[in-house]
Amino acid sequence: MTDERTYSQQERERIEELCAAYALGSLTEGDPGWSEFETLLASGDTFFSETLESMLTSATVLAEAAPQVDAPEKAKVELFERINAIETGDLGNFYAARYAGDTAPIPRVTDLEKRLKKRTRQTVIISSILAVLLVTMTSLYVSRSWQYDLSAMEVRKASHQRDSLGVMVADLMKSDSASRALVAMFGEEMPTMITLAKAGAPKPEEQMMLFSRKMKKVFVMRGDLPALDSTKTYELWQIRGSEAPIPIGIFNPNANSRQMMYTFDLASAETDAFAISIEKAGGSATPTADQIIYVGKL
Amino acid sequence: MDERATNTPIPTNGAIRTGSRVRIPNEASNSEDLALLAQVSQKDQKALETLYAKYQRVVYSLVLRIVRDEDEASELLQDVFVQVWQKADLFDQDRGNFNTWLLTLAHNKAINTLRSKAYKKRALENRGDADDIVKWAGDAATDTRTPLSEQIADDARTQVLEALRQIPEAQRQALILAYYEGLSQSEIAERLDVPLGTIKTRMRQGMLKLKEILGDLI
Repeated sequence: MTDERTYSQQERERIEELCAAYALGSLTEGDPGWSEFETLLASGDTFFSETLESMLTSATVLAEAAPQVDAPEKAKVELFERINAIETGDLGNFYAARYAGDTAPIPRVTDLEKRLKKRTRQTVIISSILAVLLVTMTSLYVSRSWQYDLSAMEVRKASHQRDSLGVMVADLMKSDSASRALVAMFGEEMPTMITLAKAGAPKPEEQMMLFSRKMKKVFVMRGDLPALDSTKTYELWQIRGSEAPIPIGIFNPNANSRQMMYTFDLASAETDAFAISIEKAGGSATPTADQIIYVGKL
Repeated sequence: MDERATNTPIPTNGAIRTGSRVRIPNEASNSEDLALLAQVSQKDQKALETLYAKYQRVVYSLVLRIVRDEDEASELLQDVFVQVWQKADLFDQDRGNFNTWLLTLAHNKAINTLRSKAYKKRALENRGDADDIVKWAGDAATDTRTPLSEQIADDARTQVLEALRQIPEAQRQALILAYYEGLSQSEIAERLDVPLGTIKTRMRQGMLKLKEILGDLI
């Protein structure tokens, strides 16, 4: 609803201050004026709207003050490679290739090789940090839930820990180019972290995975999964209600590989749980019940 | 977390009107942009290429000036156009000009990168004191902060720089520290050792002055 009110000179100046600060990028969510700005934005007030538009336009002009220089040609090439990957739903592999160097020869080798090496190092560092965080937070979660029954309070604590981890992971992922690529893999959507627990184990054993409903993808962390001999493989399953488990894909960590995460596409994002089993090499159409080693509910 | 405008779009308030235009390189009209954007929303890559050709220079120059790292700027440029590709159908022409939206988006992404803790730490050593943007004019060749071979000042840029010269130094300083250095009002007040209220006033007056001087450009 539009609020066509009349402002005093002081009030008008206050609105101009808020709009100028917003347009220049210096009005942050922590600032006292932020909620006032949001309230005015939601009010539909004409003076506010016109002032804001004017300030934003003026700020846009400031952009032209920067020394003008063309973007490197490779930026365009990479942009459209990325867009094609988005359209084909292959963004995960696109980033894996782009940042890990696991791809066919790339033009302009000298320049790109340096970048790839740099990004590979960054990716390994970020992945290591993520892994350490995951293990640490999992340990916290496990120790608490092991000491007590999971009362409602403990569930809330565990949930809070997972949320905190999510924030940290999101923060880390946004920290630089390589980690931004990880964010882009999830389409700017914060994925759901799922803990797959090992039933009947003498001590708590858990496996972590990320589930992106929007991307219809799951990312299984290698964690402590041991390598299997060549006659066996791990297989991931999607479980929906009382339906038969749906095979998603197989993976077998190689003891010599540094791969820390396995990416799988889902036909449908509708799911209640995921499970990991050990199957014969090549995988199975239905899980071998006594070989289901981990189950995790959403 | 400091995410001022990460997810805050150009106001989606129906009361905002179109009409004002920023003259940019190539002097493309907003209506042409909107027609291209409509094609982009239909997943027409040629249309995106046209928009990219038109705006890559101003977007890249802006983000490069903010983050001062060519690789990072290149990534940000791509992020911006990926967002155009993915969000084209959500853009409402009644809510503002395309170029304002595009440059605000680019500015927000660059500023958020600048504010990220990891980036701050990495860039700290390479980042000198706050710049006076007016120094860029006429002496670009000696600007060692951006080791780029070509810095071409076009008419629009010259006019903007001239306008900035006409703004009182204290106001200009506040605008530049906010827009190009990504500082909050409180941070600017602290850096310049002046009261917060003074900074707010300087920003308001500086922006109004800029608009007044550039009346025929905006």
